[in-house]
Parts: sequence; C-alpha cells; structure tokens
Amino acid sequence: MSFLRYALKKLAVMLLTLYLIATATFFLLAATPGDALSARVERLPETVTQRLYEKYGLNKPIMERYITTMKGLLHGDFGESIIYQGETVQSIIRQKGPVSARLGLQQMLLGVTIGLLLGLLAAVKKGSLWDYLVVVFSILLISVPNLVFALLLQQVFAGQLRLFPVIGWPKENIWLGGWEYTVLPTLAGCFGYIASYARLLKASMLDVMNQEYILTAESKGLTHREVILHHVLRNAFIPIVTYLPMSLAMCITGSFFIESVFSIPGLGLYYVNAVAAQDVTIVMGETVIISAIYIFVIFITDILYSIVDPRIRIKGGKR
Amino acid sequence: MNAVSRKLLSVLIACMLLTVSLMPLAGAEEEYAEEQVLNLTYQDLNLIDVNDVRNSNEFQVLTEVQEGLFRTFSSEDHTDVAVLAGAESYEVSEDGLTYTFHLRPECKWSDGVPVTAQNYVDSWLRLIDPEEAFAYAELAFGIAGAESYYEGEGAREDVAIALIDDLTFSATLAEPDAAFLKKIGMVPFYPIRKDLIDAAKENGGNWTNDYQLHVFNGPFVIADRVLENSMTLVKNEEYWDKDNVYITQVNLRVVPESSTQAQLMESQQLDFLKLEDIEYVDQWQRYVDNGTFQYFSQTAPSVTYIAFDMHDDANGGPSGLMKNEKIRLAISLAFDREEYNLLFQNGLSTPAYSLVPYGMVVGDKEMRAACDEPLLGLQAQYTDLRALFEEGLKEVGFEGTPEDVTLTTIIYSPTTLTTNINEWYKQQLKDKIGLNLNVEVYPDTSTWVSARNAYQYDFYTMGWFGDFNDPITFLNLFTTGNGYARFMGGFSDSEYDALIAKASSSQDDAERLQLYIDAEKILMERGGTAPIYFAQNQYYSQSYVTGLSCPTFGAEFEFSRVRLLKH
Repeated sequence: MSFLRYALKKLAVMLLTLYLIATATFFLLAATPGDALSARVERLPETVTQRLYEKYGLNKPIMERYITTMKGLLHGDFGESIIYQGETVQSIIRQKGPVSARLGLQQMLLGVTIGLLLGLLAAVKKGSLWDYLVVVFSILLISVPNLVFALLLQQVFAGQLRLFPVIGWPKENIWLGGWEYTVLPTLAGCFGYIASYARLLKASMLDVMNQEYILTAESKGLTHREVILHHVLRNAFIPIVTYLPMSLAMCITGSFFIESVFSIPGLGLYYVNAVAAQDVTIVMGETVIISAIYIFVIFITDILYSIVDPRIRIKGGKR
Repeated sequence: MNAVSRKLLSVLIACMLLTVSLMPLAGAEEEYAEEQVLNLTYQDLNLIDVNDVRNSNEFQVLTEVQEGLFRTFSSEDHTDVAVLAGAESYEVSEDGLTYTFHLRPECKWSDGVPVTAQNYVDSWLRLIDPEEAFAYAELAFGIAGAESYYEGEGAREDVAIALIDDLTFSATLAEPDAAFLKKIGMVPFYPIRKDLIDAAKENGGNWTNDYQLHVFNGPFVIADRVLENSMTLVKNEEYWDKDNVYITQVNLRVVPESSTQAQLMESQQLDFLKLEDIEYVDQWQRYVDNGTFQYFSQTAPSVTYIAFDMHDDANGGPSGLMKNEKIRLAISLAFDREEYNLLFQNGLSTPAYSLVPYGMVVGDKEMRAACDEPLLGLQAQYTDLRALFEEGLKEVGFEGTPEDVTLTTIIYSPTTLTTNINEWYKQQLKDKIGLNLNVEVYPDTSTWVSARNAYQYDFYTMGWFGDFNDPITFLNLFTTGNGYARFMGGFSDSEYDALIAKASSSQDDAERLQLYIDAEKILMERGGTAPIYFAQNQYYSQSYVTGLSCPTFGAEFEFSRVRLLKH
C-alpha cells in the first residue's frame, strides 16, 4: 500500500512540475521583448502590421493568451506554429523526433560502450600509463565542443577523403537505412558520452574497490579478475544505471550543432530556430513535451529504485 | 497599335534575342550530362502561397514552381531581362492608365487545367483583401479602388480589375505609374487557383504550407519537402515551355553553416552558390583560375545606410541634434567610404555616395550612369567638417564645442565585424569632427527594435533591398509619412515630396529620371540619410553549369533553363 501512495505522490509532483514549467515558459516567452511577428513586420507599413497582429491574436492581453494556451494544453492542443502556418508541435515531433532519436541512440550506444570499456580499463590499470591516457583523453573530449568535432570530421572524411557524404540523412527506412549518412554525425556526437561514462565508471569502480567487502572477497582468495567481474562491476553499475535513462531521455531532443553542420532534419535545430524566431506555440509545445518525457523517465527511475532498493522508499522518497 | 505598345514590343523583341543568346549554344547532344539533376542550397520557406510571399527564399522557390505574366532572366552583362511568360502580349492605353493582358493559351496548371484570366483576377483581388493582410498588398495600391478596399472604405467590386474573357483581363490605375509593369511581374501577382484554396479551407487543409494541396504552373513542381531541411522539385510536364527545361530534378537542401556550404561546393556536391562568407573569395580564386568554378560578382539592389533620428514626434535623438541638416551632413561626410569598403568588405563592395544603387533603371537609362553621385560633390565642397558641424550647433543653439557632444548609436547581436565597424565610426567622428560616439549594444533584434521605436538613438546602420527595378523603390522610402518612415529616420521635406510625387505620375522617362536625380540630390544635401556602401553579390557555379541566370530582382537564381555539361 505504501508503495502505491509513494507512486501517486510522485505522480502528483510530476504533474505540478509540468504545470509550473509550462507557466514559466509562457511568461518567460511573453516577457522577452518582441514576438513571433516582430521580425516579419519589421519592414512592413504600420497598417499591415496592425492587421497581422489581429490575425494571430497577438494583440490580446497577456492573461487572456495565457488562459487560452493553458486550456489548449489540457486538451493536448498546443496550437499552430506562427512561423510555419498549419504545422503543429505534434506534426513536427512526428517528422523530426525519429531523426533526432536515431542519431541520439546511435551516439549513445557507441559512446557509452566505448566509454565504459575505457572506464573499466582505467580503473583496473589504476595508476598506469593506460589510466593517465584515459583521463587525458576524456578531459580533452569533454572540453572540445562537438561543433568542432563535427566540422573537423566533415572536412577530413567527407571533404578531403570523400569517404562519406558531406551532408544529408536517410529519407527512407529511417531507422536502419542510409548508414553512410549517419557515420560522421554519430562519431561527432559520441565523444561526450565516451568522456562522461569513462570518468563515471572509473570513479564509481574506485569507490567500490575501497569498500571493505572487496577486501573480504580478496581475502577469501578470489582472483582479481573474479573480484572485478562479480563484485566491483555489479556494484559500480548503480550510478551508471541512474545516468542511463537521463541520457536516453535527452536523446530525442537532438543536437543543435551537429544537426546544423550535417543538415539533419532533427528536433534540436528546429527547436533552437523556433526559440530564435519566438514561435511561441512551438516552443511551448516542445518544452512541455520534452519536459514531460524527461520527468516521466525520472518518475520511472524513481519507481524502479524503490523496487530495487527499498531503503529509498523508507527514507521518504528521496533519491 | 499605339506608340507606347510599339515601343514595348521593340523592347520585348530585343529581350527575346538576348535570352536566345543566353541559351547554351546548340551542340551535339552528347556534350550534355545524361543526368540533369541540380543540387542547391536554400532556406526553407515559411509558406508556399504566392500572394503571401515575404522573403527571398520564397521568391526563389515560388518563381521556379509558379509563373506570372513575365519571367525575368539576366543578360550576359548581368542586367535583368523580363520576357513574356504567362502573358502572350499586353497593351497600355494612351493615357497610361489601363493595362490589358492577353494570356498564353497553352499555359496549364500541373493538374492539366488551363490557366485563365480568372486565376489572375482572383489573385490580384486576394492580394489586397483586407482580411488577409499580405505583406506585398501595397504593390497593388496603384490600381484604382485598391487602396480604399484594403483600408476597408471601398468595396471589392469597385477595384478596377476587369475580367474580359477567359484569356484577357485588364487593370486600370488611378494615376499613371511607370513602374507598374515591374511590380506585377513579381510573385504576389502570380495567378492562383481559388477553387483549390476554397476547397482546402473547407476541408481544414493547410493551404499556406501543404504542398500536396497545391498545383503548379511553373517549370517545376514540388515533389517532396522536409520541414527546415530539404525540398525536391521535379520538372513540370504540363509546363508550356517544357522543351526548354532540361533539368529533371532539383534537390534543395538547408545548409546553415557556411563552411559546410563551402565543403559541398569544393566537392562538387553543389552546383551553384551565392557566397555568404566573403572570406572564401580569396580562397576560391585558385578554383576560378583552374576552371573548376565559374565566378562573377554583381551589384545587389541594396544600400547600407545610416538613418538619423529626425522623426517629427521625437526630439532629434538623445543628443537632440539630429533635426539639423548641417549636423547630419557633417556626420555623413565624416565617414571615409573607400576605407570602410577595404576594411570591412574586403574591397568587394562599392562605396556609396548616393542612395540609389548601380543598376537601377528609368526606362532604358541607368540612373547612376546619368548623374554623378551627389555626396562626391558635397565632399569636395565641405572640406572642413568640424566647421560645418559647429555651424549646425550654432543653429540649434547648442553651447559648447563638438567635444561636448556625445551621439548614441544602437546595434544588436554584435559580431566582431559590427563591433569593429562601430569602433571605426567612433574613430572617424572623433578625428574629423571631434565628437564622441556611444555604442549601445542590444542582445537581440527584439530589444533593439524596442529601443529604436522609443527613439533611443541618434543614428543607426541599416540595409535595404529594393523590391523592383526602378529608383522609386528606394526614393519612396524618404517621402513624408510613408509606411517605412519609421525605419528610415523620418525624413520630411516638402520639396523632396513634390519632386517624387511629380516623378511617380510622369510618363516621360527623361523627365522622370531628372526628377529622381534632383530629389536624390536634395536628400543627400540635407543629410536625409548617409549611404555607406552598395553590396556586391559573389556568385560561384561549377564549370559544367550553363544557362544560369541571376536576376537582380525576384529570384536569386533563375535556374529553369539551366543545362549541365558532361563532367
């Protein structure tokens, strides 16, 4: 019973958070000077400007617009894009979500795998040349923005060696086809994962290795290999498991720079452009939907924890 | 046939001959590539509704998939040549008021339905529909009754656009307008299919953006579109002149990074490009030299200028000085435009000593060829700018020296370039007049616009693109109370207004040209604005591209008659 109450409480908090995010986004957007039309009417005569504002209802008072927006949100209706008439958040996410998701998943799979292997290497060979190489490598990777990687990869492998297309993304068979288009963007985006997961696993493994039960295990006469595989790795994976769902949730949001450099029809580029163009309905919609996904993942993670580790539930639901 | 239309006919024949010379010389078939597919960059369109067109990217694509009365190509010396397209012929009445258009009977929409005069009449009336609030409605205001219909005073029935028969319609102007033919050649005046628009509205379809609801009467049709990413055009088999269209498919891609564009161009994955980042001009010279790229540079119909705050309802800027002619003129003359061009435009632009750019014509005379640029004369006349400025200060009753004056300029989203330019402004004004300049930086356009609308500046720098090839497209911006006065500083001068009004209704090209010249001189002498430079466009195309046109107005590229050589 207490578990159900715990879950319901989490759900309520989740909905409240979403409402607050939506409200904050609305008012922040409203507080920014100018609006979606200001760039468009910039060079139009006054009379046309007034007409346009009336046409889009942007001349209405802010509270009235807030109520309209919130009512729409309740019904899952975020409204039409002001920049691309007729497009809705749902239609845009349907078109662009899968693209960003595939790119994000590929980057994550590759990056996390390599990252974990490197982290393992660094932890096992602690203090050796390998360890330092991994540390230096990950610091390097984490401090170079992926825009730089993207441009470099593009210049060398597409421009000079012509091994891959300079830009593009598969149009058919969007989940599996056209792998040659995805190689460079995947590489450009996986370095972040490599660096963060390598460091995370290394730190976590070293932490576990200092625990007394490892000493116990070793004193039992287990080989180093067995200790690492059965005791250290399993326990060291707990923070990784916390981290993974978050990475997964962020996958769908896409990457502005990589999508921009490789001309990929993803969400990241679109979202940033929508913010810049102050396309209020789209920004509201995307923010709410992405927050919802994110919060939902956190919610599921929380629930899973409480199942895996009852101590979390007993402590009052703190993570 | 009256005198006017005879003259027009001779111009048209000359145009036809010119375009023929533009076409690649007929050679053996095997010289041409088997696959006639174009790869280009573009910016995604906000809409595909011809009446609602706003930006150059929309002009670009809509010009290729739709067609109006005329189609504009560029001749070998890069001047615009309008040829009859949707229209087969037209007449202008003796008084210059009534234009009658005869449509080409073989024109069809991509669904096989003929293009009719009704399609044009529907379009022109929709353009000025007050409910729609289309950006370019103003272009049709010359038609009798149009403006009052748009303002909600007159009735739709009173707009002087008349359907004569299936292939003939006419429009009557309130006053003669020498630029009328140039205006109606533009995309907002292209025909529309009202039946489909109404059907879309009824079914809740999205006419503005859903290409699948549209039919096309241009050389190409839209076959696919990925929002903010790509668009595919394929040849329109119903197009009346399809025998002269060789390209079968056009792949348009959104490529935001200029380095990626360069990468694509260098690896021949892009067929032509208007260069955004002029840093590549030097880098690509070797490709031009070894024949990989064809290159040419062409004046853009644009001017970058300084707008002074002289609005009637403001105080003449934070300094309170901007309403004085001498002060404005001294500031205008203080900038060394040659140096500006060398420092900030890599010497690739043209320093501006007048408002109207090169290439703008009145009749068949280019305005810049007909007179000297007024600021050059003024520069020779006023050698002591400090003295001129001090005279101005005396006139407004300012106590003190130029050193006591601080002007404010406003900029947004600063880049290294704009920061450097404003530093240079500061230096120029300090050196030549002795005054101080305060540069207010705003993080984005919106905040900057609020500052501008609140008149928190003495001057700012801005660029303007002309809409059609007649000097009036620039000169009109400085008449009293015009719709754009807000962005131009609000210059107001009765003498200038009278000259422009007289020119607009004059039917004599020579007289009109002289009136423009006189008006521009007044504008410059009275410091109505300070032009800085005229931009040059840098075009690159692969060596195998033939038949490409880059008109000054309308579409950036007219690629419908392009043919690719074997490569």
